[in-house]
Amino acid sequence: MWKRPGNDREQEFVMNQEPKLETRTEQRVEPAPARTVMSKNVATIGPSICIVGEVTGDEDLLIQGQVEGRLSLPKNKIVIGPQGTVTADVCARVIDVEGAVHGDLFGVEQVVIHSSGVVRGNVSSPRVTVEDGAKLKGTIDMDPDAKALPHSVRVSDEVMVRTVEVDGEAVESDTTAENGSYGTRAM
Amino acid sequence: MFPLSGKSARRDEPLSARTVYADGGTYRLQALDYVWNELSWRENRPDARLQPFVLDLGAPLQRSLSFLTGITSKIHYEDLPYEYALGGPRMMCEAFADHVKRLRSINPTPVYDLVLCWDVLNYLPPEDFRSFAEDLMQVVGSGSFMHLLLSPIREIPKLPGRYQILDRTTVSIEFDRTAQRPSHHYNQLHLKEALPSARVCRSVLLRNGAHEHLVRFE
Repeated sequence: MWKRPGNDREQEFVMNQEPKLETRTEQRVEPAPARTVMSKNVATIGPSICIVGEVTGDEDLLIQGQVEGRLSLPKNKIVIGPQGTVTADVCARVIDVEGAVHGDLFGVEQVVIHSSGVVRGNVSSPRVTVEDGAKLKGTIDMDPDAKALPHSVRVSDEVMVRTVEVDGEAVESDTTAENGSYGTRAM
Repeated sequence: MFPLSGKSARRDEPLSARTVYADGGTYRLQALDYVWNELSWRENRPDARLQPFVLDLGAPLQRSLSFLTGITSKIHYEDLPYEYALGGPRMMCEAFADHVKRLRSINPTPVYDLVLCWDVLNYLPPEDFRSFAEDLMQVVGSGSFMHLLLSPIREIPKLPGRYQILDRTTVSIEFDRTAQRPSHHYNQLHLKEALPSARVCRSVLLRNGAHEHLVRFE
């Protein structure tokens, strides 16, 4: 049965311990400076721009507007700014999320979800950083084997869209989303 | 059985939100160490496809993520406290049911090796608890674990807390104590009833009055 608390060395609840969490520090937290470090060759989708379709290219991209469809810049960096809203699968060398994304993220090198970021989708990258306060619903897959796969294989060849039925409702599904959390979408 | 008589195990005073939910703190959870050892063993198996898959029902926090990535490379975050904040227990259950439905439509076999269920069940009324358990049973298989923290008290903070894994046996909690709400009580028998294939292999009453359970699915 239960041991007397005084003799129980196994369990311990320590109240008011020395703060161990960065989030509990009493230092005043200044607003984060612009973390976006982009190369000079940067394209920007402004806040009033809405793009529906596929975006490809060979330069870094800053998204402050809306994008629906697919984003593929496997050699470059994509920053989804605080005002950016993306409803698409995103593939890039580095993905920085400060806005909202509904879709899967494939980072060839790294994915960073900042504290203001909201992601509903799976994240696949060898390095994933999620700042405290970020919202994430989905699977993080940091399988080291994944980075060995060239982007063209992961996105162009492996994503085989198939149609399945869920409770009589037709949905699309891609085969790369093993867990399927957000690998489906209503048609 | 559990001392649900309304007295704390440490002091002869009634359990209250003040004694159980102090201003955050640190739990030392020995059962977790066993789980990590088990998962590390699975991680090292030759077949990489069998790497452990962890389901964290809480919010993604960097320190927890850093720890978990040392155990496995596949972690799913459901962030049910966020769903609860948006729409209460009903939305929380619907979000989880939606996840399970999508998951099952693509992968019919159970997938999760470990489910971290901290500070969630106390926010579910019985009818939602049953549906949650039914959904959960679809995504865990033989050998899967679930680690739970349950509160025995009548009142809990208005929103679920934020748990952060500090090391193999230590978890910190932060929560907002500005408002309280009634708690739903679940004990070992309730777990056994709702999760028929589960075996509670370890239950510990923490000094703050909360219960730690480690459940293994057969």
